[in-house]
Amino acid sequence: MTQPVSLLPTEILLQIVYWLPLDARISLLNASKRFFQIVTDPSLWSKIVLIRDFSQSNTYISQLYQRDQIVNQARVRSVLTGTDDFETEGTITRNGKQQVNDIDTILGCILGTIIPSVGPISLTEVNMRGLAEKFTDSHLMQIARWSPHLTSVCVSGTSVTDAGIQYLFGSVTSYERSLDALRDGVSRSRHTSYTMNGHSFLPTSSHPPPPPPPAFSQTSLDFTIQEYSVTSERCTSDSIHLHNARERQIVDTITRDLSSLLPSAFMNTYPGATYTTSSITEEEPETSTTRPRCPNIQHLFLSGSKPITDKTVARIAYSAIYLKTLDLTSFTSSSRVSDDAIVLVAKLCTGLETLQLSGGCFQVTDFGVSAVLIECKLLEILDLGLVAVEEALITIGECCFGRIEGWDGKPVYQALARVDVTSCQRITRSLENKVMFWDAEDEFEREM
Amino acid sequence: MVKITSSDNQEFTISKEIANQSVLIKNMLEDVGESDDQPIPLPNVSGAILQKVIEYATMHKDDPPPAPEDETKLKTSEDIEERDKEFMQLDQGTMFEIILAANYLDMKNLLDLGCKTVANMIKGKSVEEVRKLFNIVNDFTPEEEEQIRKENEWCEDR
Repeated sequence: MTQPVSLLPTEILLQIVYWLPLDARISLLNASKRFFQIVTDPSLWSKIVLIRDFSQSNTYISQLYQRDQIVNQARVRSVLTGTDDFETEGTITRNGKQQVNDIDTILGCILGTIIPSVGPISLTEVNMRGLAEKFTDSHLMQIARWSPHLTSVCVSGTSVTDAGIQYLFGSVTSYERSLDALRDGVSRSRHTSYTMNGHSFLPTSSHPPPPPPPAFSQTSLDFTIQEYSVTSERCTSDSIHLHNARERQIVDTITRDLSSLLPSAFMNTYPGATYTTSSITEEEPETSTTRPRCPNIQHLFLSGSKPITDKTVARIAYSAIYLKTLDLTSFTSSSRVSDDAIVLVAKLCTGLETLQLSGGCFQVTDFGVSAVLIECKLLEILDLGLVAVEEALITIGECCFGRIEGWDGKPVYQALARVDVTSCQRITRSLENKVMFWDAEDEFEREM
Repeated sequence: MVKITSSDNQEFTISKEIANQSVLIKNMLEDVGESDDQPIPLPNVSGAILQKVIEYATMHKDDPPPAPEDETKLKTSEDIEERDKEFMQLDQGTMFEIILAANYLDMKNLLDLGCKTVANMIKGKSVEEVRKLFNIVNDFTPEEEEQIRKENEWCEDR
């Protein structure tokens, strides 16, 4: 004679469900009303992790973490055997036995049933890394809608786009405020440490100037950065001439309106490229205003997602004031993130500890990275490694290098623990000796 | 030695190190003092179940103190010692009573063992199999079941 497990008190049933993997929880969820309530108890759901772990012989597609503390986590897994392609496999296989819980069902249950039940209370971490096209903007919006306490979001390698990420954060109003904040910051900085002299950043008065770069031509350094401290003033002029980094040509003119919106707009250009601020200023203004839905986000991983624009990053910068990790790694050359947005991040997210810009973030230059180095005193990891070496045009130059390296052998930023400048061509060409010092297994990575 | 009595008035005499595996008994001993020869009543545990609990505690009396939690090590319900697996080869009724007793006596290791064992029984089973295994009555109305089914297909609907 079998005994009804439902005779056990709720506190014990919760502890049993604690040990259950995702697919088993879903089965139990549908068993009865009582089990529905128990399985959707907020104490069991603070993290939802759906990842593909290619380092394992099998592909683990679901891992479920419970409760806030890692010590209380129980990892459970469903194994997708065979192909890595969810579309063709479509089912979870456990111990050779096919289950009905394919990834669509799991996502559907999480998003449609579990998160609406438990999200508003407890969900703090969502990791959907590698679910590819299966995880879209609508999924992220559903999670954000029910989970205001999210602190970590990883949508790397998914189909999430600008629209999904912007949903997490504030509207155009806050975005414009962020521009104001940037202007204010620039203005204030004139009297503090933002003095930049000609083609090179100078350190603050407490540091001697860096030694001149031995083999770095003045031409190649005399590019976009003029005086950061007078940016706002320059934006009041009718036009601003931008110097091409390599060819010393005037390549663009920015109108007064654009300049007033974006005081830092003149700061960079690229060889043969025309400077554009379209990612921010040419978009139609939004009519509705929304508050940030997930203002507590500290860790945001967007690598490999659809190309992220400056506007989205600006929203992140303004809304996610507790941001510690920002991963904007792009696996293609189509990244649309430029210095404009990175400067905003630097100004508004001063608690940033990790910034990853590797891959196709070719529009980010010395200027943007330097702003991060200046503002984000807690920065520990700066990843500027490039993946697409052939297309590498990133202009991480002497200015950044000087700040990273420090003067008189004393690193300016003590917190900085890891800098990856893999394949940064400007450095590799001009600072050969130092690059060799940085070189480790062909990766220019330095532990400081 | 410590004397304990079950709900059906069976008396057991156990060593203090075995008794101390129960936080409840340990606290009671500290409250009443060691000189008291009165047996400790455990009205929520039957003699048969108390016998099994004592068997478990005896089996683990020489275990080293638990190591500090390794935060990087993920816990799973598969992490059960072979001797514990054998110990838990019981009928469902006894198993549930042992879980209840472990909860009452505040014996975390035994409680975890029981919960893991039940969880392992649920794993890999369909909802119908789970209902059958544990005599769970499906009290969803057809409309509610349909609603859940629709909710679970949330992403497919888009």
